Amino acid sequence: MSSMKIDTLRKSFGELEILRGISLDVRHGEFVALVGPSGCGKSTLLRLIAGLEAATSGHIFIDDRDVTRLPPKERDIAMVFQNYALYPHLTVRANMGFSLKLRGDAKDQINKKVEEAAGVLGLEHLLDRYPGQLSGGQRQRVATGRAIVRDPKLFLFDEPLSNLDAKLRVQMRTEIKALHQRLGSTMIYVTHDQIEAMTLADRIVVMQGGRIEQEGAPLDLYDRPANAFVGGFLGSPAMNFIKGTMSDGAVKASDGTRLPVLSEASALDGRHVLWGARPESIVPDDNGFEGTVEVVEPTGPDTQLLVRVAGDPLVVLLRKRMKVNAGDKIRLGVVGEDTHLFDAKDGMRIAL
Amino acid sequence: MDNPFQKPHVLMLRYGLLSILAFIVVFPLVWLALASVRPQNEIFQPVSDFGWNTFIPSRFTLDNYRTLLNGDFPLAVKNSTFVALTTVLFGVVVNALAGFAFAVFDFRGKNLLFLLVIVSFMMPFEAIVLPLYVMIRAFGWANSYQALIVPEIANGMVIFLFRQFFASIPRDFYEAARVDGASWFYIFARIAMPLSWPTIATSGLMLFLAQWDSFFWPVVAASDSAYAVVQVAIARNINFEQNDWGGLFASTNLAILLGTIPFLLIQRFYVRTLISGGIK
Repeated sequence: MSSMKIDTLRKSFGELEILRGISLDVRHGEFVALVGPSGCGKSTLLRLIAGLEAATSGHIFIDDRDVTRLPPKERDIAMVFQNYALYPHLTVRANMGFSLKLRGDAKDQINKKVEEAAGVLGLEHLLDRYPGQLSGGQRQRVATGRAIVRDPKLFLFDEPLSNLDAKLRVQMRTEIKALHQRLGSTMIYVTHDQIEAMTLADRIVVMQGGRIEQEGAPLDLYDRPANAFVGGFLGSPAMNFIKGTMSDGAVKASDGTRLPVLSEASALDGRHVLWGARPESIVPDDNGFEGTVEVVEPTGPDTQLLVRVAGDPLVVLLRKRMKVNAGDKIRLGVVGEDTHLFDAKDGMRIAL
Repeated sequence: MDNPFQKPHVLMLRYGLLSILAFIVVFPLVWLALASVRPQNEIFQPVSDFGWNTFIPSRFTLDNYRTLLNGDFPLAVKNSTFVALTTVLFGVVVNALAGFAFAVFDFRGKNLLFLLVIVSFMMPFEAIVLPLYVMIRAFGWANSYQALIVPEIANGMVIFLFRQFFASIPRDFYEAARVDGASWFYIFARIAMPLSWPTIATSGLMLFLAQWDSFFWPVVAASDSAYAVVQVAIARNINFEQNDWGGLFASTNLAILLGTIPFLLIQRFYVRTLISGGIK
């Protein structure tokens, strides 16, 4: 178990600046997820931590030791790659023991550790197979096993589940979470899947354009996004946004529709804002604002509606079944006034 | 291609043309093989008198081969085998290392160097024979195995093949190994090379055949009969005083047969692809 500290880390490829000054503290045993759209720099950040790329400036510390200029093998880290990178000419046993063999461990020592890790991951019966003979989920487990045999200071995961089908992904997600709880190791996990980040991480770091937009506990970020980007990025279906102007303590949309906000908002009158509401917070309300239902999508546990409000599409997630058809007019309100306000210009959260 | 509704006469025409083509390609080789087992005085008889005699020798004899085995030819085979195998051994390692560097590392002047590598195999060998010979002489290597082997080790085409293959291996393999603590040489020897058997087989074969078939350079660099290689030995059957046609055909035949052995040994690698499996 170890901590990690990143201090104003920058990375450029020629003119192109990928990381624009990242600072981050990771505590002992913490599970940190780096999320963001593709090209946001999250993978580059992970590769810098691993030592696969050199930083342009800034520092990385693992356990208070400056590792910024050290090659990967001197950092005592293990990495699970997106496509697993299992050596096809080696058995599962040799793949998992690869780093130990390089380290010069004794043969029976290696076997013991490999079998231990295989036990944890349920791979005992596959040790003598080759990667080509394994299913996707099994390969993923071997890749994870290769990382855990080393008992490294830091685990790095680079989108480890993105090559699995949806069902397997959910299963492996649970396994990784259980593994983290069992090992208590420090883990840094890159993903573009916000659900993975929400479910796995102790802390989520949302990145965009080479910067950290916000970091914090998953539900804190979900409930109080620092800006419209974070609000829109976390959650599926995504948060709804409608542009408007504050007037008499509500948001007036372009066609005059009044969207509810917290009662204390009256001080903001006249300000241009972005009104945000999560799909699951919007419910039918006879006293609410009006919209036209365009699409009805029942998924079983709930029903998703696409409603046109003030010219903008609004996604509504209904927990209760309800008779509604495309073309119907519907009146909507927001549960517990769970709305978010962002500045229309810079997208920053407006504190209420 | 195999259309069952194709008209029969079109099929006949196609197979007829293909048969003629096959005959044109195969006939000289058959003639060569047959000529080598004919008595000396009968070799050219069927040429003017085309008929069944062209294909069936009146008398089957191994005299030509017997004479060959009692002469210098076995030494030439030994020389060629040694030269070719040594070239393959060093050539695969040296060219693979160069290809690996081109594929994996970024260094100043890489593109220019790679361009020179490509130019090197576009250029006819004859163009550099003279300077090469001067150099070999200066090293004191004239009439030696080094003269035959060393200039043939580095091969632009083989470097190119290895570079293409190593570049096609997903970078994750190299990076995973680096994170696990492997040195670059370890990665080359234990990860990259074991994955590249098909390329090693192809390159080895190319290097082997280049040496097995080489004639001009051995004549120039090692004219001493102690270092004569197969192609030189074959050519020695023909000289100003007298032509030993039987010996020529028999030795050519043997050179072809021996030259195909490595191909037969390694052809299974052409079918195998090892790269699949480790990556999703």
